[in-house]
Amino acid sequence: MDAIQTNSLTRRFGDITAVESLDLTVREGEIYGFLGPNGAGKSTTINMLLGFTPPSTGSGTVLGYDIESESLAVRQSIGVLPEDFGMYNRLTARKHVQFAIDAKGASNDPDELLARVGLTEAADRKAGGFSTGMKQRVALAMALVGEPDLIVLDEPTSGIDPNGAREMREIIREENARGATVFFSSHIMEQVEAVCDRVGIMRGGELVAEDSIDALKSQFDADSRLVLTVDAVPDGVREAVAALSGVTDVRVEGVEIVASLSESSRKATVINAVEDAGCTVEDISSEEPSLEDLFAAFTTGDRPTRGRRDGSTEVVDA
Amino acid sequence: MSGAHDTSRAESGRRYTNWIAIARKDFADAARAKMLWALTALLILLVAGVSAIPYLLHSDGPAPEFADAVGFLFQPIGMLVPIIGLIVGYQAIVKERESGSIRFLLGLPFTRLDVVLGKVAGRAGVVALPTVIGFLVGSVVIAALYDGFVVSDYLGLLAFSLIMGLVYVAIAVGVSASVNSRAKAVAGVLGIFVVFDFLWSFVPSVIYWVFEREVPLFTGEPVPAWYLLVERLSPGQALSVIALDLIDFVGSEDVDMTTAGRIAGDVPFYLETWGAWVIVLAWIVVPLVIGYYRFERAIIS
Repeated sequence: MDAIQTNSLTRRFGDITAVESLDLTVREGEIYGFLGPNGAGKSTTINMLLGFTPPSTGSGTVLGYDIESESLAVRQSIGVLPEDFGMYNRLTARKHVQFAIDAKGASNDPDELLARVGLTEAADRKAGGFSTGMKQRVALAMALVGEPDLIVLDEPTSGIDPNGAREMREIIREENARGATVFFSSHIMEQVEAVCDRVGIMRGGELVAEDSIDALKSQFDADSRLVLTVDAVPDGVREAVAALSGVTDVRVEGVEIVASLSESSRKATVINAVEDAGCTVEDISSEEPSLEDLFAAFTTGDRPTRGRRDGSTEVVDA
Repeated sequence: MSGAHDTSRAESGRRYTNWIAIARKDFADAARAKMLWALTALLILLVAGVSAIPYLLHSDGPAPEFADAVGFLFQPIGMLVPIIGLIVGYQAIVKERESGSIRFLLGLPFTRLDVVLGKVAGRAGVVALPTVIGFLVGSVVIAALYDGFVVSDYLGLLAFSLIMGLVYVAIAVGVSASVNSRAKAVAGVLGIFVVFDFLWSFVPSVIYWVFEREVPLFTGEPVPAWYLLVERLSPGQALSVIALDLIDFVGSEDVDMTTAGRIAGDVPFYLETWGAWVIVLAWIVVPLVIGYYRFERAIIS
């Protein structure tokens, strides 16, 4: 059985379609990254899974329970770290966790859960004074109550420091090792890369890609780019390069020849072809796609026309 | 999957009592607020303080007795408790929607009915506890100042105050469940209070005027039965009718505010006191049903 399954799940708000005919499958035991920019339909999807928002059409199950008719059973068996939640400012961290324990009829020790998320010290403090990171930790402790079969984390690392994010990933791995499925939504790809087995990428309410990060990367590697700066661009050079095998696209921008390559090993062939056409190559740079580019490629529609501007651009002197 | 069966079994055992967890949490949350202490102080001041006024004002004639004190307390309680109930209740659910803590609440295995019931119970507790404390302290003062303490009448006045508190808490929680912003909740409870507790007395008069071209107040004649029924649809009016069941007021027989004294002809069945109990019950149930109906369909996003 799948942990989450949706069939043509759709939600419209007036004229706007927030989620369009979504077929999502999260397998039992995996860590699934649910990616997409803000407004892509991630939260609406999660709101439908939790029974916060009824679907316009379509259906879905969570751990085999129907998301509409069996929402109580869904929420009894899962743990949720919601997005944009507010705390009960006058209640302590321990009271929050105890409330989740009471709600589920679980037998956890609240102090044990607070220790796991690193809040032992703050257990008796009122949540009103907590930083965003501490609030996220309380919410995570609440999500862990009752050893749920599925943990839904909606943007769990927003407002949390890198150290906190790392600790959260550790807990996610521990829970997964215990046998829990983890469904992790984020708008930042780097945060899910380290921990997720598979990712689904949402864009404009639709699932536009779903695979392991490695598979998505290798699919995208087809478009690593080679940029040659030359003294002048003679006629025919574009056609000559375009004719080479392994070259998917060639553009000329001023004195730059930009070739998109399906295999990075074709770089030398391209350089030779350009020199054979009578150019003097003055500078060579090659740009491998970053995770950010990969994400942008799936969520903005255009394959990036400019490479990354971070330090990993490889520059070779001619 | 075996877990599925475990879960449904666990649920059926708790489904009917799960709102108690919300009531407990809600009361604990309120108990840490200054509001609960302010209310306790206010109700001690009201019951113990106001009931002393007949004693303090007394100069000549027979000394005021217990029944005078209770009669003197009745009016201020009837004015203050509704306002307290509405203030305590109106934020109950809508504040959680505005702050986002509703995401915790509804991410946990609670139905929206659990939320409405738990909130009414929790907030009713927030009104009830200070009321009981106020009456406890008040009993000492009243017993010390007045002769003829009648325990049943005192408990009757306490019961009346608690029922009144519950009615207005239920109205406010019903409104709170129905709307998506605190501003609307304020407007809702204020509107209901003004219409049904202040303007309502004009409604039967206006209807009467439409048919008879005169206002019964001025003619002083007995009114038709429907007139009293319409008047009694107001929560405040219905509550003051059931007060006659709970408390033996001094001189209530003489003034004859009873139904038989005001209407022309025999008292129809719907104007018997149990009819007022039904109206009071309706003022608890109907706002909650409407609130639940709207909350159940609300999109939490």
